[in-house]
Amino acid sequence: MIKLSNVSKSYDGHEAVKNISLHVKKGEFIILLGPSGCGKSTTLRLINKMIERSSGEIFVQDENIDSIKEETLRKNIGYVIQSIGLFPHMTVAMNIATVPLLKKWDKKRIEERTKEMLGLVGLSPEMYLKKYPHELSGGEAQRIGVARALASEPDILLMDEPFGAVDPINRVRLQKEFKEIQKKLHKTVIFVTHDVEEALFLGDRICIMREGEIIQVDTPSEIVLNPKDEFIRDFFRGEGALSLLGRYNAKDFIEEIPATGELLAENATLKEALSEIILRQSERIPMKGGSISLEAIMEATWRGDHEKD
Amino acid sequence: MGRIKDKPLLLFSLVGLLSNFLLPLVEVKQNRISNGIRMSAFEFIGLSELIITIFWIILIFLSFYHHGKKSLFVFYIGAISMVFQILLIGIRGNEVVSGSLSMRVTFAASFYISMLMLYLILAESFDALKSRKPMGILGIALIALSLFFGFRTGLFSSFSIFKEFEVKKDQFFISLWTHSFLSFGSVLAGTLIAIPLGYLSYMRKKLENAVMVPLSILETIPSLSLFAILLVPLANLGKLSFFKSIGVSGIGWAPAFVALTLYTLLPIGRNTLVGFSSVDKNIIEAAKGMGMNKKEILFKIEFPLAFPLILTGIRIALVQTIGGAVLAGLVGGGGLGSFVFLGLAEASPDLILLGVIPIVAITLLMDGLLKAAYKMLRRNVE
Amino acid sequence: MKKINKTLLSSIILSIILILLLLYSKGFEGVLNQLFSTKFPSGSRTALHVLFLEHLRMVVISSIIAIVTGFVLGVFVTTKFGLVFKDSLLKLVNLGQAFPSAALLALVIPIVGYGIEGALFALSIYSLMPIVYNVVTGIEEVPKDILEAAKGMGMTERETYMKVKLPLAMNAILGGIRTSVVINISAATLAAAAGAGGLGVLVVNGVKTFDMVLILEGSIPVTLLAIIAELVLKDAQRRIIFE
Repeated sequence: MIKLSNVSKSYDGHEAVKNISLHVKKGEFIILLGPSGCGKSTTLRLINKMIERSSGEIFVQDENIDSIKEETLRKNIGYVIQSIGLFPHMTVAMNIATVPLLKKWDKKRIEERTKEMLGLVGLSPEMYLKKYPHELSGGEAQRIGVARALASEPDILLMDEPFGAVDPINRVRLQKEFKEIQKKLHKTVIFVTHDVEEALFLGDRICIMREGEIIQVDTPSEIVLNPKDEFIRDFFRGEGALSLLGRYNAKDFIEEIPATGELLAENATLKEALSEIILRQSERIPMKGGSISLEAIMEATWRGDHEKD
Repeated sequence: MGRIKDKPLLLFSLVGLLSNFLLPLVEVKQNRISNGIRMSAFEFIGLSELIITIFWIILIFLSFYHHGKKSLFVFYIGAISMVFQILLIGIRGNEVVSGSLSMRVTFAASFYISMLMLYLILAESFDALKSRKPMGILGIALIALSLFFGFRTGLFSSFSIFKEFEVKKDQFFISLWTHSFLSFGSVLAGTLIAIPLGYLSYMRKKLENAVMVPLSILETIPSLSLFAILLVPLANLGKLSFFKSIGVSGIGWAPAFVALTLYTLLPIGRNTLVGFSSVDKNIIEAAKGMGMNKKEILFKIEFPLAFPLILTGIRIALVQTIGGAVLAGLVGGGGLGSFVFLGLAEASPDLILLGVIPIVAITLLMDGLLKAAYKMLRRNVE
Repeated sequence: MKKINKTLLSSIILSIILILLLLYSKGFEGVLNQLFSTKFPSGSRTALHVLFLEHLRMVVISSIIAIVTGFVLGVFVTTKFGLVFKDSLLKLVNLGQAFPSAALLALVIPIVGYGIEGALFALSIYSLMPIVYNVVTGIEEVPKDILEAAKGMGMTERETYMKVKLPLAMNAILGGIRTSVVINISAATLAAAAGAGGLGVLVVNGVKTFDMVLILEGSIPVTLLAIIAELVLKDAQRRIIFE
């Protein structure tokens, strides 16, 4: 779906991106992860030509991006940035409808699509359609940003630390909700972040970058369990393994054995289950339909997510 | 189009070059009122003008290069062109006029256009100098010096503007003094009144409208009207012995001075208000916590922090009054405006210029100085 | 709606006063005659409303020219192509603003000639500057992340201007127009000295003859006009402001 071949970008002698090659499959959610200055944002912006690359080729949906007019390319890719950039002089509805309007969709289709998008990000159309950006909270604005990016039905989404400016509690909510949205829509997503937990939670594959180069591209569990070098091992420290547990829902590992105590929440992750097990000092805690045990959690961790491939 | 690296330079140089060929450079007149003969650059100066043409072509050539190293080059070529052109006109002018007291050389379209183009070229290349700015300042100093030198050695004596200046020299300096007194004096007076007013509006929110609204209305009164309205009252006031002794009357400096002072009140007053309002309340809180009393806080914290904005208001007021004082010439108040209106009445552009050029020069100078002072203050605060 | 727009209300009241003064100018003169001595008991030779319309016409025409030209120049200098000319244009504007209105008139008249053409030319140039400056500043102050989002969405330069830059710069642009119109009204009083007519004729004649009646007869309508323009445009600005 998206292919980068030997792409480089230099600024005044400084090489921001050094000869990287990457292939992103259709429907894949790939994370560009790395410390500040590693070139992940630059790489992202090379794809939608916000920056011109110095060498190499980039193909989007099998077409060389040089052969398409920039604006056409961008109108067909969703782009979400950290500060969102909602247009302050337009209502939420007009913001979301921006690209459909530019593409001259008919009015009815735009109206329906706008309401659909608001519903998708969990905001009620009646309440939010007529609001202005300055009336929104950080989390709400972030959601509208995503809705706006998805409005014109792009197959590809480019996201640059979209949840970075939100408080930690809302960030986790947004991550969970976005993962749900992605399950429904199966867009091809390239997502830039420096937050390890976010990467481990969201991505199908993680592309780790450092100083303009790609170090490793793999599934989350592969990266945690088989890091390629010391840098990556240090980057994830031990928490990586624990964070991995956040990817799985406890209810997928229920056993039909009764247990005593307060019920664990239905949508709890394995990480939250482990946390409860430790707090309650009990090897098995009850859930709707059965219970979850420490043993089951350990087994899930060993198994990793090879099944996903 | 991509090969032209410096489009403005190309545009300005082309315009300069074309005006050199197509438009008249000077007008030679027998005396002040007769119609003169218009001559283009080559007609008047002859082949020596080619030097200037070559300079223009060099500048056009340089427009194909990026800024950076070439900027200093551009700056100096522009500076030299400016000086050379004026000197060439002066030398030839002296030849043509040769001793005649009334015969004179007036600048025409091509001269003004070339000078304007060179000014823009110099301004732009000066900005691009970056680390080489001292060299640029040196260049400006050299321009000023060579022009002054030319002036002193009588190279410019054929210029009509200098002929007028010679005749009216004393009056010019008196007018210059009056004008400075009117503009700087009124700003000083205005500052003394407006800063306390602005501070008061800041202290008591209720007073804010009571003060600012009348001042805003004052500001919308056309200058000429305000000057004029004051004529009769001040004439009457001037009948009282005290005021008569300091020169207050319906004519003279008083109406202009009072009107100009009134006009400074809004910019200075409003900026004082905004300046004080912009001081972070937390800083004042901290100062109180340290045990400072109200007077100390005012003079050591609030005023210094509000000062940059107040200075901006003073700058705006000053630029306003230097220009506004021109109208004093219409109500008998003297100043450089008297040259402007005299020139308008006698249809003598040179008299007009004699009044306008100093005004513009002083305005630009004061504007630049105060802007620089502002920048320095801000750097200290940060 | 507790606070019915004070600005709009004041401007309506002032407009009514102004119209009354113009319609009943003889009465107005009569009142002034009572208050001040005059050498012209019969008042102004030309009817007040004629002079007022001359003045208004001058201001409207030169303002329209200034607004259109200023807008075009200001926008041009912020586009991709015109950006290189921005500094030079702003320097030119800065230079122009150092010329008081009287000086501009005095410089233009000898070239263009006495009368209304010269005055219109000078007034247009004079009113041009605040507009150019505000258009450029207004467009430049649009936050960069909004422009990034617009570009990332695939907006062309034209689409960006129409949908984002201009709407968001409107507040500054209207502010510039407001300043421009008000200083234009004021400067047009001087145009009388250049033979262009308008209310300034009364003021100038009044100054020459030390006649308070003529001075006030000219000054009050002009001041009212300036205040009304300021209030109306301020209200228009308020309606379009964005957070």
